[in-house]
Amino acid sequence: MASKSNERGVEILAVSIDGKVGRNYEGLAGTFAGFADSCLRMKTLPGYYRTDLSVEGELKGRRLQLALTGKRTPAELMEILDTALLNLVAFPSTEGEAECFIEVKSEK
Amino acid sequence: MALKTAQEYLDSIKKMKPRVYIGGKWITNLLQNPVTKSMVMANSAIYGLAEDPTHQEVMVATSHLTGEPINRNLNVARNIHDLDMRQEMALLTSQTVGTCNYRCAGCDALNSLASTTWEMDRDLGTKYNERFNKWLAYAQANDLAVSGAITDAKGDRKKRPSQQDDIDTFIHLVEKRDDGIVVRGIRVSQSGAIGSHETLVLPGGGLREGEEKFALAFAVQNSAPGLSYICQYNAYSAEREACGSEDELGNPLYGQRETSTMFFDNVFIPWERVFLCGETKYAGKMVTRFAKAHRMNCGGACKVGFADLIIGGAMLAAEYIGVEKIPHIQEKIIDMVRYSETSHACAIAAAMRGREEPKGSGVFLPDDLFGNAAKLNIAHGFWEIMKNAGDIGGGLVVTAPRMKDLDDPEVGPVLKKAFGAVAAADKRIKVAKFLQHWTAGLHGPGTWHGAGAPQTQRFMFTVLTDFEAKKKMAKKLMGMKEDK
Repeated sequence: MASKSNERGVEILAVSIDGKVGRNYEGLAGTFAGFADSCLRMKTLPGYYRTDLSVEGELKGRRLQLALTGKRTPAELMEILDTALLNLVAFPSTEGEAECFIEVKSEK
Repeated sequence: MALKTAQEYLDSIKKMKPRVYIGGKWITNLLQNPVTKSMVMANSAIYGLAEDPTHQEVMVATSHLTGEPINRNLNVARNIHDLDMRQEMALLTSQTVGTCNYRCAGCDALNSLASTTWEMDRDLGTKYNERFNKWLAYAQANDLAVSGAITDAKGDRKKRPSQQDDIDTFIHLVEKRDDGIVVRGIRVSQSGAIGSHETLVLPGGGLREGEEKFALAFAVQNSAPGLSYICQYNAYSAEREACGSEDELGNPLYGQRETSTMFFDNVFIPWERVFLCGETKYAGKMVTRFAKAHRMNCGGACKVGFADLIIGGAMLAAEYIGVEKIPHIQEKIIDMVRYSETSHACAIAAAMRGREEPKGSGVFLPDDLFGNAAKLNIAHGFWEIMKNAGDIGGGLVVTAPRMKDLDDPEVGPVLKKAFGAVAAADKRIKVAKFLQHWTAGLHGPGTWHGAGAPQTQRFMFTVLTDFEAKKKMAKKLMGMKEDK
């Protein structure tokens, strides 16, 4: 059975930092694919193209594991991810169940 | 949220990080550069109009997808009233900002997509319309600023897209994947994409069999990785960056019309945002339906709003030197009104004679002949309007000193003496700067080429006019027999 978000053509993305729950975002379906392409093929985050921020990522199904260059606090990482998702026109959401997962590890 | 406020739009743009180059530098914040800021502030003012109860009928529509109130810039016209309000919106926005409504081309692009994707699904059994409607519902729900990019760089005009030495002069498909497509190429003369959330890209012209990789339509987010914007740069950009005070400028808050060259360097577009991919037969329909809407709005209404501002400025200039009652001045003002209102009448006629296209789609498009007449008439009329404004405004339109020179202890008193007339020098110089913005600015060629250069409208006249019928009725009245 199609989920409500599928019927509306949107998808819910859950962002977590260092294994802790971060925030959910709603974007048009395909947002996760765009985000993953940015990280894996372009090695950057949306909104950070051709900046010194680079990303290493691994995609397992609908789960994307990311490591960002540079030492940053979880709050800083969350801010960067927030900007990246807004730049793909996805917005913070408290509704719906996440079907795509972005897991970010900070550099220790 | 179905309607964003002006402030909410500004807040949303503050976090957008498009890759933008202007005047020799890459910028990271659109609101910190005075030129890019003027574009964003114009968009913000357009959002503000929808908040104003006075403009609700023009600026707010009802979504045919959700029944919710939406900004008219994201509305698909479903009847004659929608078409009429659409052209009235173009008039109002131009009167308000004196530059582009940077959501205008996006609005006309989405109407073309609503019509053509419906036809494709009917003819080909594709799912483009369903996909487009989901994208549109999302854009409406979040009241996104959507711009339109239609013009390919084109290269050597004698050659087809695939014959170009460098096919990057046309947007084209690089790779088709399970999750989407990768596109590459250049779009030029694009108005306001930098400050939009998304841009709709349509084919730039008709395509033939064998040109499938150029048959693309899609929505791209403003900061999609691989996308860069190279902004126009001219004397007005330099003046805005260097003047130190917006008060010096002819259109202080909203500036000239800001465009950019968009470079798509292998940009990924998820399938959910792709509305044409390879179906060459429909590329021409998409662009002509866009043009049909845009000629009514950009030609017959937007430029009429500009003309209203120019006429107002010219009348003030006349009053400030005491010549407003001179017959030839009044005659020139009347001529300016004649040029502009004739075009507006064509736009209203295009809306009133609009029709559902294709039948069954529920999408209404303006009458093609009247829309082309609106655009062709204003393309020529606008130069006449500017000529009269320059005439009435006098040499001061191009010889005025800076506003702040009036405050200089040495030259200020001289300038006040020189330019004080019925009105004080500051008022005269302010109006002169305003008229300079129009008569010596970017809007002449912009009006000529926007929505297609006049040669395209002339061509459309030859296609749309039934010349044989005209000959036949002339022969009948003359009593001439039909040739066997």
